[in-house]
Amino acid sequence: MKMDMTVVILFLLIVILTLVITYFAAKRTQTTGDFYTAGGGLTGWQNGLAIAGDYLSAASFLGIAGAIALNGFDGFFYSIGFLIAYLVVLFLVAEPLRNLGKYTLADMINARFDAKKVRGAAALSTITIVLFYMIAQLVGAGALIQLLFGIDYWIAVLIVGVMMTIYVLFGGMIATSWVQITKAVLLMAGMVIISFLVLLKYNFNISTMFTEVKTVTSHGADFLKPGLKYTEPLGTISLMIALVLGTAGLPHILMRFFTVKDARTARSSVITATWTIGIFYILTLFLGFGAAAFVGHSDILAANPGGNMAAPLLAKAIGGDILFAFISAVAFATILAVVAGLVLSGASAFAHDLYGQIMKKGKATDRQQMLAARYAALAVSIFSIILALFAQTLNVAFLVSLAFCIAASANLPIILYTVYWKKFNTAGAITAMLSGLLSALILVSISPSVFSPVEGAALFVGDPLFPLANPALVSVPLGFLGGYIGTILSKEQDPVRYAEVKVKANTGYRES
Amino acid sequence: MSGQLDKQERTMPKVDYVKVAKSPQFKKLMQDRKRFILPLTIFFFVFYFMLPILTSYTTFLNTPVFGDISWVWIFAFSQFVMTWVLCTIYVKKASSFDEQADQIIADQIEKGGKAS
Amino acid sequence: MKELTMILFERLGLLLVIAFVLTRTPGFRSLLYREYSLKMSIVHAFVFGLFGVASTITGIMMDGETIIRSFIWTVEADQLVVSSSLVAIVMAGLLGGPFVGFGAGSIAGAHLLFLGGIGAVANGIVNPLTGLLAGLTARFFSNERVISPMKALFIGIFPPVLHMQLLLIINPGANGTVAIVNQIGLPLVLSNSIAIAIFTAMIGIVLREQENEAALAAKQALSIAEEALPFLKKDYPQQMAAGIADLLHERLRLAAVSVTSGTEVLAHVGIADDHHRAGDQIITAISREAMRTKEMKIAYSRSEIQCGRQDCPLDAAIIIPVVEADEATWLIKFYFRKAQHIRPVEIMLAKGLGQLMSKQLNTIAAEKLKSHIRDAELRNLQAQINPHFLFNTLHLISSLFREDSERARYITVQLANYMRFNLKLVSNPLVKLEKECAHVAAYIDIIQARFASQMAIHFSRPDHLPEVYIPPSTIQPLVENAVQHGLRNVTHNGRIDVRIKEETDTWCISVTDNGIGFSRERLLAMREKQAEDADRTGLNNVNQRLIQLVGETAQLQFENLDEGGCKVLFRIPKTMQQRKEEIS
Repeated sequence: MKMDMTVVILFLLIVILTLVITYFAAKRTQTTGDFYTAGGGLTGWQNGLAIAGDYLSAASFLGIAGAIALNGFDGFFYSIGFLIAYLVVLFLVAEPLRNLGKYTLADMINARFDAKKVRGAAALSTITIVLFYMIAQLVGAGALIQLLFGIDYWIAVLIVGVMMTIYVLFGGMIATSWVQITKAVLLMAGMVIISFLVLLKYNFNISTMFTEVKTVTSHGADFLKPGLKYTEPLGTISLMIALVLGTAGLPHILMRFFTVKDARTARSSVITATWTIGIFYILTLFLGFGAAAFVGHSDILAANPGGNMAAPLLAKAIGGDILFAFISAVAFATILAVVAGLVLSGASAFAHDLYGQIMKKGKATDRQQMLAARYAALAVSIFSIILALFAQTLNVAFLVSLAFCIAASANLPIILYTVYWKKFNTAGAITAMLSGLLSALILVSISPSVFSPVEGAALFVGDPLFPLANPALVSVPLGFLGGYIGTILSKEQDPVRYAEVKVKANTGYRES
Repeated sequence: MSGQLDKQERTMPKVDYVKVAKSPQFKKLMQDRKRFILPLTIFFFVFYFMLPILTSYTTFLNTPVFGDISWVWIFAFSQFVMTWVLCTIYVKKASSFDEQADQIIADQIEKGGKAS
Repeated sequence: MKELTMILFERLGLLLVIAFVLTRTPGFRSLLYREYSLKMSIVHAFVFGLFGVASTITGIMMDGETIIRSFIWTVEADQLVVSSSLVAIVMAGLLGGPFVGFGAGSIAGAHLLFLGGIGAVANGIVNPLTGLLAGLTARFFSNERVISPMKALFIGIFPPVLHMQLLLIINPGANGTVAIVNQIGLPLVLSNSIAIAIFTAMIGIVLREQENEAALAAKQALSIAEEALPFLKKDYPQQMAAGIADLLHERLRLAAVSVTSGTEVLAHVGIADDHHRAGDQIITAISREAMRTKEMKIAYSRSEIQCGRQDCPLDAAIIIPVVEADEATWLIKFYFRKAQHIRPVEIMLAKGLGQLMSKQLNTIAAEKLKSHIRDAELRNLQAQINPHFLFNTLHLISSLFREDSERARYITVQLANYMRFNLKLVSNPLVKLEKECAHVAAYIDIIQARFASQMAIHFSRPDHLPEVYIPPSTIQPLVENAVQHGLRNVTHNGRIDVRIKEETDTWCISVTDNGIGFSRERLLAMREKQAEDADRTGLNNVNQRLIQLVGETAQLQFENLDEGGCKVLFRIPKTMQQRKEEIS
């Protein structure tokens, strides 16, 4: 695909400006308080938008649109899964975590357990999740660059990867609240415009749209029916498990949930976020259908085998170059934001917990830790770039669901047990984490995404040992089970500590 | 909320959380919470998983309702509605839990962990 | 597309020049201070709206693929107006808020709607919408008064994007619309956003200029006030005036500076000093007005200055009254050759200086009063145990013992009273006239007893003394002065008359003696309140306290009498009766 000057210029303009502005803005925020709370100055609806901004990654927006465009109803499963995950977070996890004041996994574990080993295990799981998430983002960004500039995929990924690494090392683009709000607004605006244009084509008659869409793809009427891609019931269910439980296992994404000053603002921000996120996912439907109708499967697949470029292509088809560049730029810039955060959390998890506490037994100096963090950031970037090169054929939303699977298997059991189970102890925490993490990883590595008899469909050619693309069905229960067994076997108890956690989690009481 | 309390707290000895956890007030809060969260959580999990289960094992959802829009789409859309509804319910209920929690904290501070 | 971009940039360049000129006008600058009055907002919306209209007119039209470069007055149905009006509208929103943005956008939008052509509706809608959004987001984006150019550049990208989408939404049928949008999209984005950024930068410069100017003026005023301080402390009004006039003339580079009292010119420095001289009387109405209202006045023309001479080069003046103790005591006048030379900076400076100097004078006066009171206290403290007076009186008493023990007892009592009054002196700045009379009476009795053969002292006062308050120890020193100086060389038939007499508006207290009187120099010096040597500080102190605590009208008056001797008097206005609340 040739490079279109208009688009490129506009794209670069928006992206560079965003980077510059947020770079300087980030330099100015001094405290971590400012970082999340923008100095505590956010109103309810503003914070709600920030929550939405955090929650809706551009990668999933690209991925879901593509999934729906290619697979019809089955693609919509992602939207539904991600949406209900919000409920899981809200009902089970958010309030206790907020009350405990813990926003990272490591902090939360510290509320109850002191053991370094637990922190080490948590660091491992964080790094793994970060990797998968990174791969998803890089694939999305790489595909974008490939589409915009007309260069080969692997070059695109390399460029993107290098650029991001440099940018992160310079410490820029930490996703402050303002960035998130801007991103949410721009993303929503883009979605609304595209949806509007799509509906316009059907004269705002949704029924007509459904009817038309039946005929635009090679699947015909099946396009509207579930089961196009997910033919295996267990596979579907497994995917849905990962989607719905994954978010709850990623505390750092939830940080934004309750960082407002008082409970009333927190409540209203939840409502705003709910509406925003809900509307967003409904709109993905229009994007997907629109892409299927106005871009066509062949073009979508040609641009990226995973279908990730459906949304930008749709923008180009009905909105012209301007909209295309706009959407691409917004998506790209927001991917950058997410990546920076990811790399940093992975690097700090490594440097502080794995390196500092375990390898150096707590004797590492600050400088050593910082160096370790730098190297870790580099390593994470390189590793994810390499993996991303192989993941070209995979849909971004799918990759994110893998990350979610790990989170649901390794982290969620610990979170739930910590808050709700009296008997839970250190040994249980370690076993829970390890069993969840390892089972998820191993099962993924022998899954159809990695091994496939069809050439080019996966990493390696061969027969997959495990039939499910997303192993959540197995790994999540394994995680819970591991935690249970480890706890029982170890017989260690600390009811006093648990009482403290329980009281704090449920009343919101905090010592000064 | 915690700002005011913190000042008072500094002069108090460490809170006896076990006592607080055993207090009837706190137990009532936990029970109220459980009665609210548990049923609703079970409900939305079931509602949610009905979708993949039904679509994987049955096909009756595919019958069209409005034009070419079949039941499965209505069901999918209802998930959205359910989410919005549940969120609103949660937000409303949470403020009453807040009051209970505040009450517990107040008593706890006053009586140094011996809340009745 | 390149051609289109270039043309748009050209046209925008034109507009930016006009914008620059706009930033030089004072009316525009008021916008930058965000003064929220409805009227101003409407005016600004109007101005920016017109600007938007001008942008449209100087924009270009597209007829299919061809670009029509002439100014846009009429549009055919199949032509498309490519207007850069969004630049002005975004600026309106950023600077003036949503209301101004929406208003300006409505004007520009209405114009575009009226012009017609393809995309008329889209053009018409996007302008008010953009104005509104820009206004709403401006607050959100930054707390600075004017947004930074970088952020403005960023914000400026999105309105054209929105514009293009609206075009597509409203003209869905024409497939050619996509092609059009592809063509004009990028040029519009680039040109608009850069223009907005430049305009924002311009405004930033204007703001900084104004702030710098204000800062400099403030700095100058403060340093002048500080340098003026030593002059203000001088007791001789001439010196004070000359020093200040010099200072101001030099620092402010005015055509001329005058310092005048209420009645005459005290100093004049600068041009036209041949006929504006120290000692000249003040006759101008505007000066009197300034003195009366205690407010700054500006004379914009020769006729207002009312200088007698036709060839006087002074054309305009700023007259600043300096206020001391709530009265305008003197005027500072800034003279200019031409009325146009009076800029807001000068006016602000003048006002500021006037206020600063008034305050300084008040402070200085308060300091002086404090030191005078302290002096009086000290002297009274001394007087309480004034050795000489005591020795002499005791001597008198001892000698009276044998001759007239009743009288001796009486003098002893009076001595005690006198000393008691002296003790009380230090506590009140004002005392009832009654008390002071008792004080004086005691003193007189003693003196009379001592110098019985040499002089006779008469004290005449009304039976009912009014409830007037005067500073303590004001009459007694006058009598003391008469005794010690006036009648120094008198051996017999000396006479001192102390009188308290009611006049129409005042009470007149006078001490007359028939001694040698004051020498001419003494008289002059005392009139000028400049006597500082030891003999007379008693009187000077009394004088100062009278002036400070009662007023100018109460100052001591001295005259040599034709029949020999002298008279010292002062008047207390009857309104002092009401002042008693002040001292309790």
